[in-house]
Amino acid sequence: MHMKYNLGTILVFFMFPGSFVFSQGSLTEINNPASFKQKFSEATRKTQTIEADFIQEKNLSILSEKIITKGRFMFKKEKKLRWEYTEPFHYLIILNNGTMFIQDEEKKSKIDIRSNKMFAEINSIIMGCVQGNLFNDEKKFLSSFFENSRSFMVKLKPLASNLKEYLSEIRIFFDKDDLKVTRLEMHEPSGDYTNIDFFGEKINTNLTDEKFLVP
Amino acid sequence: MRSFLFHKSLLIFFFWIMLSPWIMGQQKGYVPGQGTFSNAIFDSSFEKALYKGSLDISKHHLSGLFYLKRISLNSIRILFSNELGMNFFDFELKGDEFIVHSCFPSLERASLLKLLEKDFRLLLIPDTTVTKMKRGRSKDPELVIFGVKSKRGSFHYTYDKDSGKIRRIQTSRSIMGRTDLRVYGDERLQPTKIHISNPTIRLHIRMTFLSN
Repeated sequence: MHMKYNLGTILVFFMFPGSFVFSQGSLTEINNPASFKQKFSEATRKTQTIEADFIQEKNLSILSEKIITKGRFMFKKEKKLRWEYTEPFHYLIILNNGTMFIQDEEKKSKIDIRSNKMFAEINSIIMGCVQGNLFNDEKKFLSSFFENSRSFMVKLKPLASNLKEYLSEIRIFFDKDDLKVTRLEMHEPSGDYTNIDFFGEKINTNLTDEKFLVP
Repeated sequence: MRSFLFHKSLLIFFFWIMLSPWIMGQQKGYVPGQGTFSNAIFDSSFEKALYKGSLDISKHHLSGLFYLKRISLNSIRILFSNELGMNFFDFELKGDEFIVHSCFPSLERASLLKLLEKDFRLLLIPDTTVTKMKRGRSKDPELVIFGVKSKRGSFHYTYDKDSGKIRRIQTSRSIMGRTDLRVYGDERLQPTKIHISNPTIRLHIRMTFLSN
């Protein structure tokens, strides 16, 4: 947990300006996103696996504080995901073809996503965020598209009333060169929001199925 | 006359022996909040703490992070979010007020909110409304027990004899059932582990300290 603008943040800002999307100029709306959608669709088709580290910051609007957690995620087509928090605690989620496994410290639980509507929805949102194709789900989200010199950004507003109650907006940022997801923002109706920045991304590596095994 | 004085002295001595644990207790400061034994789990110097934790209610299990922060002398904010950062609830204890800044719809039930308020008040806000106290007997020589009555209700406070720290608070009588709050660890500012349970409605809150 850190104060919002400590010395470390300022130093990182000047050392790695590329990691701050907003430093690349303001985002303007794309009126015709068909070109972006097509490019993205091609890039997704070629992607078999993704692995990356992430830093998650939960911003507490009223308390002027951030809660920072770190971890690593792995994705393998079609529906395999390993989402693991390593700091400051250990927490593991594995999604594998309809089964969700959660290990919270010593507690382990397994859920059949197909038999649980809520978990099925969570599964589709997580998968959609990681692959970046959540905007294709027009029944659940109203999408708008933005760009600046370095990034594309898709803004998704939930349409379903149950989703609206805890998510006001999702923003997914893509690198303009390779269309990798670089940042995910989840905004809540309270004004709090969570940023997840991805880095050290590797595409199409030899990720074995063992990483996604549900014990 | 001598015999009368002797018997009177004996009687006074007898009563003194009978009452000595209470009297000595008062003299040695065995009064929560007024001496060796504090009535605060989180004292006034507490500023903020992050806990990994879970909330189990009936068959439902929610896990995530508890963030506790003092906003002012009489106000503490309690935020519980899942690991991905979405808020389950954001409460504030401000004097006698309980403010719900946000709450996950399925948790937003008046009876549950009332119970959570009571439990968090017990954990975070020292009771300054004690009207009656009685020292009880503890089977464990390392612990000291007090029966406490206050405007909040009737409780049993269990203290670590050496450190004077609260180890357990149990509500004695309540329509909502009995709350059992246990704290562990010897950290100066905050406990390392907290377990609040209310068996009547199968509510369990478990918290493990991560950082300030």
